[in-house]
Amino acid sequence: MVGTARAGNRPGAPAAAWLLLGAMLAGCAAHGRNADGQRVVYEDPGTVGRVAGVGFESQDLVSVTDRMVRDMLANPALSAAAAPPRVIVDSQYFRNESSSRVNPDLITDRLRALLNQSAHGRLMFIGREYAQAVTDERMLKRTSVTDDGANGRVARMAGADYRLGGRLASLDAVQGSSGLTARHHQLIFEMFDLETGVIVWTGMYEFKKSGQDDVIYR
Amino acid sequence: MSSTADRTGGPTLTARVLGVVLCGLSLAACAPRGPIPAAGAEEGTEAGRRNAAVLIAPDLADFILVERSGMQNTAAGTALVSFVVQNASGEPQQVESRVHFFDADDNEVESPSAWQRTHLSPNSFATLVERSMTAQPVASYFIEIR
Repeated sequence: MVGTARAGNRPGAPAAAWLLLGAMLAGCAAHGRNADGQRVVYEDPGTVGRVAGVGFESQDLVSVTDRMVRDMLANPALSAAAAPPRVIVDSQYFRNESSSRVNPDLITDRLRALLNQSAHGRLMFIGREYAQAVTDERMLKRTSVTDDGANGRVARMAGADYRLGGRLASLDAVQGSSGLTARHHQLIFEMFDLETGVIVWTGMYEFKKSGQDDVIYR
Repeated sequence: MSSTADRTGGPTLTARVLGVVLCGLSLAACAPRGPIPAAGAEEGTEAGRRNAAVLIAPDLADFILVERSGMQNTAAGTALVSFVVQNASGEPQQVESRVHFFDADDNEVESPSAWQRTHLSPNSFATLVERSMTAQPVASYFIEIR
């Protein structure tokens, strides 16, 4: 009786109860959306991770570049020539025409890095995308703004023998009733002669995935 | 008196059955598990796993067989390992494989190849190949299949 009388004498109590109830309901809503929290973890880029869809993913990048590098280095025209051929490996002539969102530089940069690490002088790599930087520095040296550096001058910049080209394409199919999506990726890599246009090496890699794709690739 | 005897005397029938079940479960847990060597692979030591294939996923051994494997040099001086995989089941199967390359001193000459996925039709054979990247002489190899 006394307790009831006390509660009745506190006008703020019902408001506090409503606030508490609201906070609890809000907490329940958030709990349903992200039940236990998603802990950030490191994952092996070479295997399928926790977030997977039908697009071109890290394990595909690792597999395709590894396969292409091993294939290129087994080609005698490229890696067993009397004089190490000079090659350009960049994304200038590598196009992504697939429906997957992929930065082509990811593929060609990884190819170049793996090739350069493994070639050990069997191939020479020309950094054509750095040509302007080289031109600028040569100009500074030749106008005596700077000295010649430790390596001295050469008459001309290095020309290339071969260049990488290729295409990433895809074939998509969607089942309207279930939302099931299938995507077949095909990657073609070609090394072509920069004097004759002859293609001296071609590599192909393909894979197909299907699922109810709810992953957003960025 | 009889109830006291049941409690303090020998174990009841239920307790005996539980004991037998627990013992069986313990023995099952002690059974050897782990990588199952493929056909032609030597079991046991690390050194034994050379020029051979190992099925890393134990459940694969029921329907995936490695018939044979071998190594040769490419025209560019790198090593080429080939191996024949059999899908002995009536269902399509997928396996992933990678190869380690070793020199004469049993040192790994480069990182293992990336995992490569292969689709095997029901009751079929497939010949898979993997190449080394380095021109350094390769003396032996080791194939992992999962």
